[in-house]
Amino acid sequence: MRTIPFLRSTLLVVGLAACATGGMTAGESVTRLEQQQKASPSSAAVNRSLGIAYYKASRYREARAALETAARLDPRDGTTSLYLGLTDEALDDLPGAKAAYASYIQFGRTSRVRSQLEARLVALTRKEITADAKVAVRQEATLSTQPGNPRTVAVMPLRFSGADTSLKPLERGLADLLTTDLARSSQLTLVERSRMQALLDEMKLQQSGATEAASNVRAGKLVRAGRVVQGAILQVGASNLRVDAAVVDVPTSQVQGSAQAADQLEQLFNMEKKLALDLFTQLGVTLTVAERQQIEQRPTRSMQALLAYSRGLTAEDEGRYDDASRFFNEAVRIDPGFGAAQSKSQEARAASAGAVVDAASVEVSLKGTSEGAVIAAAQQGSSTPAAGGTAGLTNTAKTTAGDVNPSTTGVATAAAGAGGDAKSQPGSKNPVAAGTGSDKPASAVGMVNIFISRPRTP
Amino acid sequence: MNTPMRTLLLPFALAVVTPALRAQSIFDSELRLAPQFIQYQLKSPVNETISELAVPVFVSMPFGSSFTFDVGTSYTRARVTSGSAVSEINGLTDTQLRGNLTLGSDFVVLTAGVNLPTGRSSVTLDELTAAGRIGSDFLAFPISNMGTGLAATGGIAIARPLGDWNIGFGGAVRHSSTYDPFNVPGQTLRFTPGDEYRARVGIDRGVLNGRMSLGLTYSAFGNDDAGGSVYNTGNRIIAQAALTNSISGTDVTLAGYNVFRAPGHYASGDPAGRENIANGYLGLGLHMLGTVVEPSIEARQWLQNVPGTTRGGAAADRSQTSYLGTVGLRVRLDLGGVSAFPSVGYTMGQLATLDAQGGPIHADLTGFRAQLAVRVAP
Repeated sequence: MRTIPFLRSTLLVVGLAACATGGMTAGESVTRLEQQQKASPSSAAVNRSLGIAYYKASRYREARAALETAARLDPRDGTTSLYLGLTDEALDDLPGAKAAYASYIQFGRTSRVRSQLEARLVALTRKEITADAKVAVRQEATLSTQPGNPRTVAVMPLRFSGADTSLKPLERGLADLLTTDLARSSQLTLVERSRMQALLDEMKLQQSGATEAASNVRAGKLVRAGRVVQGAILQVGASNLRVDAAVVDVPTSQVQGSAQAADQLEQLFNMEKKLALDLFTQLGVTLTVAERQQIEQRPTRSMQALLAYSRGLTAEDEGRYDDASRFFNEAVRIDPGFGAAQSKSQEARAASAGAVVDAASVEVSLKGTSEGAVIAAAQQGSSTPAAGGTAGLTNTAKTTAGDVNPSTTGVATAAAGAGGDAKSQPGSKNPVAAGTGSDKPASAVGMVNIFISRPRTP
Repeated sequence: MNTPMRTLLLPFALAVVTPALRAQSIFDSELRLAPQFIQYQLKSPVNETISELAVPVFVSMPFGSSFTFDVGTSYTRARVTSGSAVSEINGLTDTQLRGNLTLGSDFVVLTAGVNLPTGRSSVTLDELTAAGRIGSDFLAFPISNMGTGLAATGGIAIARPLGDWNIGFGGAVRHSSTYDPFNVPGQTLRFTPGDEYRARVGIDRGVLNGRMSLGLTYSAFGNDDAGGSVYNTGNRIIAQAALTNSISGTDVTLAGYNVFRAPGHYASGDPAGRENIANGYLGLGLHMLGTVVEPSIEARQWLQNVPGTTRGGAAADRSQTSYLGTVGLRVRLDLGGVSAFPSVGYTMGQLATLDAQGGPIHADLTGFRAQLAVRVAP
């Protein structure tokens, strides 16, 4: 009985406002969208919806193919980028996910999701560093045979020895300051401290018993560094420190040179600068005047702020982002001009927030938005909301242009258009018919004969 | 091959050479063809049958990602019979060339168009009624004129996000040249349409799993000049709304428009009362039998204010209302790169008119339409 679907649908329309969701399964949505994709393979909206439907059905590889096609057809569509990122994450393609999320941040429409993805990018960067470390350790046999670049330098955490364990976080804090200063030279490429730490942590999980020096050289090989800087902080008495640093040539494991500094604890910043300048000499780097001036600047002059910052680095390395943020905030409270602590605080907050961003939390943010409508439509097996994202704005602009400069035949053939518009539309003015009234059905025939000249309006 | 036929084939030729002209976005080109026949029978006391057979052709070609060019024309035959009197006109309509340039940000579109006078802008007295009737805003024929002379349009559209809405603004100016609207031996009447200024504001957003759009277009017309008779039939305001959604696998389209025409004057100097046409449409897309079947219903109301002075100045202004309702059915068929949309519709309604004594009366109205819309996309 053919009338039954019609009647059922009519009743459904009556309840339009009440019925927000339908009962279509993920499989049914996919099947319908596959049919649409077959009919319109070059439709960005259809490929996007199909990709979302595949994602919902956990068919990630097919989702990626469809979403990549959609992204090619409309590179500025935020929803496509969002689901491409989620799909890449599901496939453990972290660089791909980061690129896709960056695209959403650039082109996406929902500000809350942009914030979520900015945080997610930070969390993914941390995740990526850890994943890279695991890969490097797994591929050690290959990587260790490849010579590193002599210009690439890795600074290892310095080993602390002393009675006051509250100074132990300086192991990372001082390494961070040295890394920052050494990176001022355009002749050197410094391995990120967090990347180095992740590698050391991974190596620690894999083995024990190796000497620290051997581990440092091994880590240097894995990051393809030509040289590593390693060292120690020794507490002397209650208020003095001695810091030793050495440059080790990774291929030969030989110490190329060393630097020392000793002074009162309060003079730590001067000691660090002296060490840095000595290390440049050992590394064979001649600084320009501008580089030297940059190095001589202190990020902070507060020992307490540096200690709080160093504790933040430790917490960050251990994945305790909330604690890290608290320590960095403490450093900023002590020294409001401590720029590195400010940026680290923001980063830690973002990493903490980003760690809990997933498809569900993003979709909650998208509820009620035009991008959310695209997702809801995909779950219903439809690509109807062809707008959304920049495609939506472009469509709006083009529709507006079409309305102010209409094409009669474009409207007359609209039923065959991509959207299949079957409804009638108001036509354009027929000037002679309007002027004679002959466009009115049942009006008299032959009104051309009744033109009467009226005086022109002055 | 006669000239109209050669012109008719022009879009096909353009479509064929398109691959040679550009390769970047060839897959986005499309050719649309929608032969259709529409006929309305106005019963007693009007006793008039108006029909239109139209074969509109529309080709859209993107050049790169920022420029789209389209061209469209139509073969059209309009016919009006009233008792033994027959008025008929046929031939090619004007050819519209249009280019849309999307600027860097993608949300600004410059649009320009040229109306080439390939149509029948000059008609004989025998053809006048047929050429005029298809301009009826109430019956809304797909091709509303046979030709309006050389004209050019330029405009701009801008879209911006506004929360979850997209808002679009647009404006355009159309300037038309002078032409001879009547082909009457021994008489020459030059007609210069007034410039048309269009402004539009529209908003759209996602709603549930579909989309809603609202738009308002204001058309201000300059004075027309017909052989020295200067007149203005009134500006128009068009309001449009549409809601599309998918509910339990059924696509739903709810749409409407309202055309208001302000009072003005005919070329004769008689006042033309204000008019309002309201139209509502409900279409369902049922996914069945491996395709989409789309039943629809549409209702339209035409409210006319008739100034009393049109009948000797003695009568007071009066209003009259006409109605029509249409049930339609459309099916979508996909054959490779070709999509076909056969559709039919049946219309019933009432047309307000006057009886022999000049009293208001309604004439019954029935109508039928059939269309085969085809889209070819490589």
